[in-house]
Amino acid sequence: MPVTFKGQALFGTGPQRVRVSVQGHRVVSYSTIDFDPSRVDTELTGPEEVEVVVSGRLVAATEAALWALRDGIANAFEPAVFGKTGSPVPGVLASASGRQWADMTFVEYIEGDRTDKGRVWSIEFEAVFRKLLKAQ
Amino acid sequence: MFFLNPGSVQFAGESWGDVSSVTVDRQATRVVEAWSDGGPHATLIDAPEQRTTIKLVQSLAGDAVGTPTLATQGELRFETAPTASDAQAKRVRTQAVVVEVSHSVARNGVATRTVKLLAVSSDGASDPLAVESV
Repeated sequence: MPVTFKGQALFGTGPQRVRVSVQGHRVVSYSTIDFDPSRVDTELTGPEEVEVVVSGRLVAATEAALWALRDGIANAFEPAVFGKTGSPVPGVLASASGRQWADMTFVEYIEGDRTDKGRVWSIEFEAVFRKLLKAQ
Repeated sequence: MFFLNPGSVQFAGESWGDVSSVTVDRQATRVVEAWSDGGPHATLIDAPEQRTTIKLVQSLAGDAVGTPTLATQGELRFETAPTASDAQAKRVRTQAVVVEVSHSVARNGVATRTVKLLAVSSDGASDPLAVESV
């Protein structure tokens, strides 16, 4: 089973891996903010936004089919999937093994340096999902 | 592919005589290997960049001053048949570029020249080597 976002297999059925990238606290050093090396104190300013990264390879039998996959991913950033506030609507990200992250927002998609055409058409990708913090 | 004693070998319009063998080797110069979270084994392997190398061995009867010039591109063509009767004969054609010329003399005094060529595809998608029935 491929990785799904909002129930959709955005990245097709090629090889995919999931990793949790960032968790924990945001750390701020006052010496950096004030440009003052005498300020040695550091503060925790709240939780980091949890980030989950899906990496792998889009795979298709034809160039057109590969573009269809890429267009589908691009459409995930279109205003059509945004809410009334103009922000993307969060959803559930689910790994191939069934692990789920709720309220995730698809924030970034990066492709590899080339499209490979051998037996199949394929390209490396990395997709970043983040649990955006909201004001309480 | 291996061709022993091919007949009428021509490159860039010139005839090359006494060719004892032609080998065609294929190599993936870039291999795509990808793994999923499912386990230790690759789930996708592909060869999106490939090289076709042709090595042509020519027997030399004496001095050979005019060697093929490196980077020369032209059509390499030769014919081959399983028997001397020309039955089931095939013609092999490819655009190729000379990338190496070397010479050696065996203990029995037989001198050979080996010409290494790389095959060029017309559009990147089609196989540079064409094998057709004569």
